[in-house]
Amino acid sequence: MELRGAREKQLKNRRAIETGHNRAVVTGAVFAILFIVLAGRVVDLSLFQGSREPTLVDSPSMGDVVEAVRADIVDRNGVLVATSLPADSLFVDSKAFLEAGEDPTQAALKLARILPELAIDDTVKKLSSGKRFDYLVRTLTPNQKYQVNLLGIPGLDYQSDERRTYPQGPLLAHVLGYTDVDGRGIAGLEQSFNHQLTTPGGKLELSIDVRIQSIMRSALQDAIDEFKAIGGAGIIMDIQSGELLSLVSLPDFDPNNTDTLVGDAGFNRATKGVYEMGSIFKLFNTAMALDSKTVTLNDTFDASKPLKIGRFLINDFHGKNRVLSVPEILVFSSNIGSAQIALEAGTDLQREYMGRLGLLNTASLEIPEVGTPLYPTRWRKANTMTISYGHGIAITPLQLTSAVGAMANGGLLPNPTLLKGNSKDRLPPRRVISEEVSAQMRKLMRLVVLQGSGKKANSAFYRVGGKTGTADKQEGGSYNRRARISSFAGVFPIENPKYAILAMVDEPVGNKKTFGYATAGWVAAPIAKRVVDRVGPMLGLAPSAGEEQAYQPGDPLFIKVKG
Amino acid sequence: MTRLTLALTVFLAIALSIGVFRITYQVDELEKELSELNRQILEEQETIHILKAEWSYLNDPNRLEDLARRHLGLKPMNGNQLINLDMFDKQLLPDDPNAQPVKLER
Repeated sequence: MELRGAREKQLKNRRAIETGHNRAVVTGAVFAILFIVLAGRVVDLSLFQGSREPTLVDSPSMGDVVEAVRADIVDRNGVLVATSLPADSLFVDSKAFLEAGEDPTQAALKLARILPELAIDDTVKKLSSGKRFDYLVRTLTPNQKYQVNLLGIPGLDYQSDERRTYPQGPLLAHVLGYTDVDGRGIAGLEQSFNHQLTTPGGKLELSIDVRIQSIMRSALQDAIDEFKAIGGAGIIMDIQSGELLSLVSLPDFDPNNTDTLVGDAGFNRATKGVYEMGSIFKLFNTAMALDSKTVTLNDTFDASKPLKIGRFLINDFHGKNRVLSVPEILVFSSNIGSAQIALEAGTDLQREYMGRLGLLNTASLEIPEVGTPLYPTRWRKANTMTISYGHGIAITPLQLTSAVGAMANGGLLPNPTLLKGNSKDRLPPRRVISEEVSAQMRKLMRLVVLQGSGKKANSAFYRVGGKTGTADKQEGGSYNRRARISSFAGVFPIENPKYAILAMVDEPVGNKKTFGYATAGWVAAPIAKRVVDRVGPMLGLAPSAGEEQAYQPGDPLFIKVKG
Repeated sequence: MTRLTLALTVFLAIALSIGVFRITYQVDELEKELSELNRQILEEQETIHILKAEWSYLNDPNRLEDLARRHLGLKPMNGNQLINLDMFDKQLLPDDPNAQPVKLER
């Protein structure tokens, strides 16, 4: 009995041990499998994937900094002309302000002393509204922020923001345009490249050179001051590539402060304004007649008496009252002679050449402010005659500059651009006149500066060729003899023209120094001389050297000045 | 034997955990340092950005012209001051070494 009991107990124990053993084996197996999986993963991670330590630490790239920041704009030499700087916007947490128990009127008065743009009643309303967030002023200057902090008004706080800054001030106002408080471009390149500027790496490189721009702007401003004019425009264009080195329209504004946008300061006279450019068109008239072989340099026209067409009488300003050769018609700027040349060529030919020179459709430029030319819908004989000397057709100074460039550069019309070195993305220049005619035009343009109305454009160092134009402004359908546009368009250096220059002054008034004259020869030509003298060395041009050819009597280019 | 294995295992476990903790703290430290440096870099980049704008502002051609005129007595350069290499030769190296340089007739 005793023995049986012991045996049974032994059996029971053995069964229990066996069960325990089995359980341990199963658990051990499960854990072993899991550990093998883990080990496999470790080997996989350390040997097969990323087996090396990263050699570079994660560092902030420029992309992080300019996150949500508008890209910079630089000039052709890399000078910064537009950038976005961090600035703080002042806002009020009115609830906190009211809880502090301050007097809204007192606080508003204190703030208005520092921030004059704040209207007091408006500020009081914002301070006592109870709203948790309301902007008071966007983008404070650091100095303003410091002063606001000194006031110690509760409930005021700052939000970091950015402010578009134009370090060169008004210098490139009409080219760059400006942005609104939220940093969206609403004029100029800021508008047309708004998308590109807001994407990372969207930096813009202009064709403009700020030094040349500055020289052009101050020369133009001096002329405007001297002749009490209402405005002006100035352009310098590389006539091989079409790149604009300078594009000035005055009056201008400071894009940093849009309060300066008063009157017509925001109006771009150089690209948006369309004007009758007067006698400069005689260049195109002469080139058309020579290129179509309507006339040769040897032909002559009788300019001794005024030309009658309907109720109009075409007269000459500097009348010579004799028979003039084709070069003389241009040099003495004879309306009578030009009209006769145009009649000989005919209306259709004139319209075709005007179209070729790009004067009948809107110029293409990267800014939105581009004007559409005005010309007669029905091109009559009278129109043909007046258009020959630049009346009855209104174009932008920009178009005129391109067309004058084509006269001198071998006959290819440059496509104007404000961006540097993108000639491969652009259309190739179009041929408008033959190379020979262009060579003749260079000689004629030089004669105008040597012997005609453009004498004051004659730089002592760089030979300039060009043409002046004075046109009365139209007011309500009739010409106003007191309001005129005086302009000079030319190219330099004439022996191998590289640049076209245009200076235009809107409504100049003659003074004692000019004997009461406000014609282009007195007003606009000297601007060209001043600018060419200064920018020549900057553009790396060697001064014109060697003797200039003087034409003898008998040569078609000989100009009989006396008589 | 078993005792020795046990002691070794326990020792290894302790040593390894101390090592792992040390490395973890070091990495934390380095990461803190890195983010501090990154913050400083951003700050410096912002400062550079502002200084660039100021540099451009101070280099306004009109301002420079005025300063050069007032403080340096400089005048705008004109075409007379530009000569090409041939003329440079003639102007600076006269045939007679004792001769004074003369202005070339043009």
